[in-house]
Amino acid sequence: MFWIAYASWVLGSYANFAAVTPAELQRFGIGWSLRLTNEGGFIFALLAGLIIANVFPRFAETIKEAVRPELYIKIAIVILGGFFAVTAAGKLNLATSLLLRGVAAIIEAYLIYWAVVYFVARKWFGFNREWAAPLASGISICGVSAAIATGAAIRARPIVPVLVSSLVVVFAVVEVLILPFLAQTFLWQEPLVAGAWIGLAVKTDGAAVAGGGITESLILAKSAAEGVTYQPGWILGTTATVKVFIDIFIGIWAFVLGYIWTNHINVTSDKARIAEIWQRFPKFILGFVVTFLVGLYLALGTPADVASKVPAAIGEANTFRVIFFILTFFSIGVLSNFKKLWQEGIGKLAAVYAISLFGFVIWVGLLISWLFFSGIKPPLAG
Amino acid sequence: MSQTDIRTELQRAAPEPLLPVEKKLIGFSLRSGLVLLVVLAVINYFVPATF
Repeated sequence: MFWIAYASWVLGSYANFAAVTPAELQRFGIGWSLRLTNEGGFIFALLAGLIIANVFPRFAETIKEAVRPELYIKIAIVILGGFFAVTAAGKLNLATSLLLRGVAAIIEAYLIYWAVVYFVARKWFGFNREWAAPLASGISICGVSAAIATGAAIRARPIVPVLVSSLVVVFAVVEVLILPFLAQTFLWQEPLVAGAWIGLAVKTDGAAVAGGGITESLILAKSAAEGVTYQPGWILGTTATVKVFIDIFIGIWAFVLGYIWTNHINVTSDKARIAEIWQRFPKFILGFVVTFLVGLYLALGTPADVASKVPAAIGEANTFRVIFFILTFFSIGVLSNFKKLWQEGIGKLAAVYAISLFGFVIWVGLLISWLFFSGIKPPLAG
Repeated sequence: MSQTDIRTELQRAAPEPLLPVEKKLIGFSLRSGLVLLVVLAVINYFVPATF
């Protein structure tokens, strides 16, 4: 699995796919390029996974133990904590401003998206509560983990969040193949709006954060072609901040739903307990915070000769982040067996998802990203 | 649960009308979300990002 994923990365770095500027085309002696940047390798990894899932399902079954996109992206996010710390250390005011604006994402996901999607699923599509609640959490909050946390909190059968999660992954694939390119075309002059938008629109941590990486590369390349060179890390940092902020409250939201369900809807002796908040808290966030604080201390609190070596050290760690991103994309592809999903007859669930996502979530996400992040530019490189 | 069971369940599920507590949850979420967003937008306007 590692070698197929990494071969996709190598393929994506081929000049005809990755070269962006006229100077690069000239340097490599080529007349055309898809201009995907070398992060286009993520797209190739995703496509390789999709081919395996849909053309070689037996092979997909063979490697299924290793297909764990949520694990891979969480490792990558923990590594990202140190990278962001070093990026933010030079511009603490800007980083603080971005963090404060991340609060808007929490309100949007939990209080607005969830309520609308739940209403649509219940009222327009006639889903019962057991299906509607995990579906609303999957579409509006954070995909797989939110669907699973909600399913457990309302005491739904295990099959319900599992099917919703499958759907989340398939739609995330579609989004990752489209949204970064739309962001590059229409939002390249507002890079942080693009980063926040990807974080709000793409559900599931893996696809969102890795999609933020693709968006950053595409926008940096386009800006560079227009003569503006931004520091890397800020667009991806915005996407990850939005996502991490949303993740923090999954446990609390699941407890609120669990309390309402077990006390007022399906009254049961198995009541929601306050300890469930901690049980469902995504622990990788602690890792992210620790690496961020350690990175910030090393960059700002150590003697100059130590601090000057930190960016290079984080650069080494960042190589591992890229490897885990590739594995995440490849895994998401392998999990997306469209034929199997169709056989399971979840067309009605997919309809709710499509209508909510493309008719509401994406556009409200864009509006709120614009409202809170427009006019804020990443620092210039050099 | 087999694939056929899920398909049948989703197609033939008996309607469950919205309970008052669900209506309250939806209404409270939307109202408080919109109010908080307006508050944040005002803060965002008066305290712009610092570079």
